[in-house]
Amino acid sequence: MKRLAIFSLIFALVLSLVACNSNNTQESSTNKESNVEPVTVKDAFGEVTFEKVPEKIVALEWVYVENLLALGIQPVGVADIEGYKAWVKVDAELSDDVVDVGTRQEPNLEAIAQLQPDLIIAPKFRHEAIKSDLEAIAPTLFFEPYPTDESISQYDEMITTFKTMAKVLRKDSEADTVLNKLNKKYEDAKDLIEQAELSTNEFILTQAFSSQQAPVLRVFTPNSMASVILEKIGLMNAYKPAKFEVYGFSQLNVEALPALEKSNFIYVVQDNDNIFENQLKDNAVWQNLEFVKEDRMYPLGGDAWLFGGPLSAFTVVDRVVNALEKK
Amino acid sequence: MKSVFKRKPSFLLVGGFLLLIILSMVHLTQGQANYSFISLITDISIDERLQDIVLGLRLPRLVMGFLAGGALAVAGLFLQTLTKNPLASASTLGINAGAYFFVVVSVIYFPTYIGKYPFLVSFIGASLSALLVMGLSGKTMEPVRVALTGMIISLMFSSFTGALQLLFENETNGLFLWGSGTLIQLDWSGVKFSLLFILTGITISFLLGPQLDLLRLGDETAVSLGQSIFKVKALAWFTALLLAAITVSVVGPIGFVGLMAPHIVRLLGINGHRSMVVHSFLWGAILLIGADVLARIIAPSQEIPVGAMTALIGGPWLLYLAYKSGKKFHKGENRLGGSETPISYGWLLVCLSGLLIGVMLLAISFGGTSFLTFDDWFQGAITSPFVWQFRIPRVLTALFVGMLFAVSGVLLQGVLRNPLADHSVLGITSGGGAGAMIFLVLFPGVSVIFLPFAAIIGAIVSITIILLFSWKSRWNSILLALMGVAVSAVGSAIIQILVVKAKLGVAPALTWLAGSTYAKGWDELRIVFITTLVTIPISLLLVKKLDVLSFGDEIASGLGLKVSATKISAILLSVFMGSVSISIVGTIGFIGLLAPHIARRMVGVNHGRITVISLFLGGILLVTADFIGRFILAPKEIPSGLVVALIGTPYLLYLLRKTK
Repeated sequence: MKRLAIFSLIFALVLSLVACNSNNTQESSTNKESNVEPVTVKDAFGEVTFEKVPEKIVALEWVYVENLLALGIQPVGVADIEGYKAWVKVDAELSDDVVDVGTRQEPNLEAIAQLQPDLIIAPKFRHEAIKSDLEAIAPTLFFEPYPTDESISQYDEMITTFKTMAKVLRKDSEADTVLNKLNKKYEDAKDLIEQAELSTNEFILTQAFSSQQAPVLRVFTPNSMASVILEKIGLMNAYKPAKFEVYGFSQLNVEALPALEKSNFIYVVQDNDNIFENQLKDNAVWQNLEFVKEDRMYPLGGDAWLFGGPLSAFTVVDRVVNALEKK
Repeated sequence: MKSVFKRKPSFLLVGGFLLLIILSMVHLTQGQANYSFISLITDISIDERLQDIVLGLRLPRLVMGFLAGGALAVAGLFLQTLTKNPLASASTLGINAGAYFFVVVSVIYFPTYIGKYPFLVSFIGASLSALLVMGLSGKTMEPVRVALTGMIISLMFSSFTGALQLLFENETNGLFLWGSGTLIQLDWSGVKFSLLFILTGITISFLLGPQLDLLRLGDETAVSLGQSIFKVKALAWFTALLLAAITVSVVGPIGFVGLMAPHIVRLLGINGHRSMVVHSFLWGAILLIGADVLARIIAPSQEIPVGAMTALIGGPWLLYLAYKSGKKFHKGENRLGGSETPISYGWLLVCLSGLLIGVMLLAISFGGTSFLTFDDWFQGAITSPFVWQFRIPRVLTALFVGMLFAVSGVLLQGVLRNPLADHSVLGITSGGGAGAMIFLVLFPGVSVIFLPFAAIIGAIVSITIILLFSWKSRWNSILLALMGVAVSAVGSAIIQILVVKAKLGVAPALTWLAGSTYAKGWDELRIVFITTLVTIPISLLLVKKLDVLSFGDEIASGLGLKVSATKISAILLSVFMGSVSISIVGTIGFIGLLAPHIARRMVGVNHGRITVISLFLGGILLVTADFIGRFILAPKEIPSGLVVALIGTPYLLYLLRKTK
């Protein structure tokens, strides 16, 4: 009977824990006096209403970090800050006292909770499974940067998300300023590229890295955000995929490049994993591609983030114009 | 060596070559640039672009396939002769995995050396694995036991490699999927690098042929015929390791080719090592090129690792071979063993309760980044909503899942009277994983709520296959475990292929497959809690009958026990407990193996006591693993499944060594 006694002890303990749980989840948060009207916005799951302006914000994907910075707000917590600094170069600094809350794949829920945020911003495709956990910490906005609906371009989604965030944070005018500047930027860049008199305006854009020691090229499709940006400044995407790519790129290897060799080759590659200088250097197919022979290869640098927001768009445009003008 | 075909070897050789040529033709037409077979032939002399693609990419890949397949096959042939073991090969002896682990270590810690000596490093790894297998599998070198030891060493090195890759993601980026071997070549450097070594190895093998023929007659006969067996054996081992290591250092670990090719050659009725070397090389090349062709038919314009394809074909083959060797096994009764001088049960319960409470307090007091201090405890930090929301349900889920795994292990081991039985060893875990994966890919729109059912179906299919195949040998411990590992290999291969095929759409599935207690909340806790509440009392009733069963089936039925009904209900209960746990936390293994075994060493043979102690141990193990996973890299997390595997595989080896 000894073991029965021990079991009942454990189970009783657990039952009491379950019982206590329901009493403790509700805790009144310290309300700040705010005289703003409540706003209601639409996110990937439906409508969310904000009574007051969120101040402590945790961003679980890099694009939302730079969106906050664009609006002049420092987040309190960010997933994988080290990665953010390596990959995302924008014209706004992330403050040093921002707390790292773990990986983008499995953010540390307790680290988020400890920051006592009043808003969490997360991508739906990663965190749908922990929706209720995140919402227990703070109101959470979910966005879907890769719309499965083919009629919505990734670029439009990015703009809508940026505006939605601005609305919630009562920064509408700041958002308009940023977007107007961006449109002006596109106009200027278009002029500069026309003046550069390129032999062709066609391009392919690729993010390249090695996998299984073999080079992999993510070649961006016309529905991708980065491709739309480049088309806005007067370039034309030469790559047309056979089927709809929801993430906005196809994974190709070097065999697929001859069909695209007439275009300008614009690429993003990390310095420590430069497949063009390592793996492909001695490859016969690569060496004989027209854009390699004619030196129409334009690096954007490893920290031009092609999945970002308006600030990354500035960086991408600057880098593309610089690269194209140089030659 | 019974011959199936009575044909002349030369005729078979020509036939094999024809087959290889046809496969090579198909292989050359595959790739992202679309060229038909006809245009490949007609345009090769005029189209420079086509020449680049064929000569710069496709031909090196094909040639590397010949070399790698051939080298692995010859290595397999030698290992089979040397160990007198039809189940031997570089992959089943853990040699590939060991070599690969060393390559990964050197990439991370000595990045400047690896470029110069990748072969040397992988040779050291290969030799070390071989020594480990020989050392651990005992003097008699029983075939099934040797193979099982090798497969477990493979598992162990793979989980080490997995852990390293997770910790050093950037440094090993290029290695990540290479883990299962790929033939991708970008120029002729891989071929150039390995050609000389492989040709040397094959030449030595060819020259050694007659000596090995003598060796097969038995050591004594060989000695009496004036052979220095030590020299011959040493040279043959060296050659086999050389061939395996050079292959791994270029294409990564590719399994099962070395196992299958020599068997095909024997089935064709080839005798004498010289001609066997030639034929093995040919058939190794055919198998590997065939697998690569098949991989690219399944997923055109994507790269399924060819190692996954060979495992898919080779797993069933290993199962069949094990089944055949199993017939020879005497139908001896298995024994579970257990300490004869048990520790006082009462004291043990007190100590374990103390330990459990201690571990739980530690786990609960650790948040994302810091510990609660004593003051926090007294000031009621424990009642803070987030501790309630995240920490407590997570720790408790780990506790109950650990208990469920442990008790399901007790049931499996008790019924099969097999100390090596466990969900992960018997392939139930990866079978369940494959079931869930197939479900995710086939029905992408359907709610994830049904995922557990898919996992349960996959698990039941695996255990049924294994039990049916090992029926004749009365579920002999070691044979059963080897079959489990074979089924496991197939399950993992299916998972890997589907991951590549379905691309990023299965990202949530990947986390789940790693086996993780991440973000488990009250909903999950409710499910495991109810399962525990229902199944544990039933288990406690059932295990009493296991005591009776341990006298042997005949005595047990003499004592009035319905033997078959008891066995089947215990297995079903165990699979149910395991599948529910797997569907909650993913593919966490080894707890069902460790807990009951440690329990037996503490309290002897009484199943009731073993079960209770296992409950404690299983809970302690998983709570600790979860804590370590959260603690080491905080705020980043390591999946607890990986932590358990790092502890579990070495223990399994130890256990195997002890199993008589």
